[in-house]
Amino acid sequence: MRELVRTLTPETPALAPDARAQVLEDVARFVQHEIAAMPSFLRAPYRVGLVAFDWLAALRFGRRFVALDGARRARWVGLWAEGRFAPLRDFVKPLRVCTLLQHFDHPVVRRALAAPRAG
Amino acid sequence: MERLSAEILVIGSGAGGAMTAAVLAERGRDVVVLEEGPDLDTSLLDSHSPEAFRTLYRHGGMTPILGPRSIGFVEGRCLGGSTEINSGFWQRLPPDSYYRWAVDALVDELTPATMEPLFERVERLLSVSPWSGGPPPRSSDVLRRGAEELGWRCVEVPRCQKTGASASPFAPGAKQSMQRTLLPSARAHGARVVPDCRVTQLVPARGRVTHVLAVRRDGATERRFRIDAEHVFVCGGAIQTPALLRRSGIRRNVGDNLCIHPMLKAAAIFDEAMEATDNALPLYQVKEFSPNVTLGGSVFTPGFLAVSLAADWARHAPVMADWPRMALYYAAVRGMKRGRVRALPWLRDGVLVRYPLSLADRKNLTLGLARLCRVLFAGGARAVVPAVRGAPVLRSFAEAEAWLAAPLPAADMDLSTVHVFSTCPMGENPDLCATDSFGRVAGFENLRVGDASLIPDSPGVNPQATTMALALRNAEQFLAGGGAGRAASPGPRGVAVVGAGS
Repeated sequence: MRELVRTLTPETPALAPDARAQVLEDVARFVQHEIAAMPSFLRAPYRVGLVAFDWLAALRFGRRFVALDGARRARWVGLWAEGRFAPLRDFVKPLRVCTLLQHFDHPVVRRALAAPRAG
Repeated sequence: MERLSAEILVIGSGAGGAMTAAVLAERGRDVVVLEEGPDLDTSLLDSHSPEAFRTLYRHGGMTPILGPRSIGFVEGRCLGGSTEINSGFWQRLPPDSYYRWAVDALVDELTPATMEPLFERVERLLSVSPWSGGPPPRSSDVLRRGAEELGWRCVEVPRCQKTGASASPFAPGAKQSMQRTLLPSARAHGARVVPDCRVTQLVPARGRVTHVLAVRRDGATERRFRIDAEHVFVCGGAIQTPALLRRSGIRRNVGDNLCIHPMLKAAAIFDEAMEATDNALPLYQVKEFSPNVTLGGSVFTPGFLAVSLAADWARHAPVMADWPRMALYYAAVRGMKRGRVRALPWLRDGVLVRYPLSLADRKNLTLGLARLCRVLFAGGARAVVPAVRGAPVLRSFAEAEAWLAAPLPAADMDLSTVHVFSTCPMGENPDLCATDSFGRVAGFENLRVGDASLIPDSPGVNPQATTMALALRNAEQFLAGGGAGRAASPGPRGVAVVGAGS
């Protein structure tokens, strides 16, 4: 999950490494909570989907998603998120939405976003 | 199994439940309110923050309405229900609804003459009032400017809010939700409010609900108990109420008539700075095309802006660089189809909600988006980015008009809704209605519904005012009519749980 959240989290705004690590940690925790809070009849298949997402990467790249480098992870996410097959897009969508919401409304990111305006 | 007894049991503490409990407790009735969610002080929390999603929203805000295109739906799950997380909009029932409901649902004694005084009474209780905090937020003003330029009808929507000073309804504690109005009133008159308590089943026998089974969370443990009540009001909202009734074997016209207001959002970019970090209040709605299409401003933060771009993040992510000059708007339509609510057996949270988005809905949403683009460009937007997969960044109304010439594909629209109703319609039409004209469930002498489920069809406006006025009307009819039911023999007051053992 952390690797997937890391891939979905935007690089902007620029953050110090420790601040970024803290944000990623909080985003991952939020996303995990949101998945755990899903209705149970969706949560179980969604978790199966997460396992499939991880292992199916091996068919294309020879390794599980978690073992890929950043560029390949981004390509694999892109194949699902931007592809023609709606269920795959719909699988990535909740993860993306939760990641973006928590990332851009994280206090550390809010401060970083506001900084150039203040300056 | 532990036991609790009450004369009147109210299930749910949102707009309908709190109103019902407050009216009945004030008249000296012994009332117990059960709320599934926690008792959290919402005045300490920004109701649109990720933290609020985690703690105040059902399923963390991740409840889908399934169909050809799933629609995101959010509702509160905390003491006070959705009144703790909404924007506090207040809109009376439009005149055309009275006529439709009398003709289609055969609702008795529901006219402007009977309802307007009820609206006035509730408005006093909730301090419903217009904005008094100085100049309107810029994000709202552009909508007003655009409508003025086009000659379209644009109105300020009043709110449930503290009046005077510069109190924004979004300021901590300023919104007059149920936690700050009717629940304290009910408690002051002796009502017992039990949070963290989920009703699992109503137990019916010979036209009465004899008792109710519930589970109460107590830290990490759960305790089952039974509630004996003379009268039961189910006020769990338009999704949970029909699910509970159906789970209890009460299915006639229950959960078959779900109506929603599907909503499509768009981010607009301006030359001037907007207020994404200021919790800016959306003030206005364009009512030129109501009740079928309403245009308005949405709550927006940097996170909400990014989420609106997630429909096509690969294409729209660069737009986020402009976030200080962006604001979020919506086109909401009256859904033309009817959806369903079904309780799934064996799953404690198993509620399946389906709404089949129709071609008419798609046409209205497309038309609504085109009109939204038109008013935003007229108000000064230099670009509009619809929450639609494959949407271009629109730079003019001409571009928008050309792109929106045909109905948008359902699969490409990123839809959401906060308005659901009509799952237990009231009225005397036996082919449509689940309750009589005052919320009493057909075939039951002591079971009533008191929430947005009763609204016979989509009113085209925020349903909180109508829900509360109907709850007041129906509670007073209960008191005046056969509401006394059997002689009340409540248990000792102020004692939440009596009896012991399981």
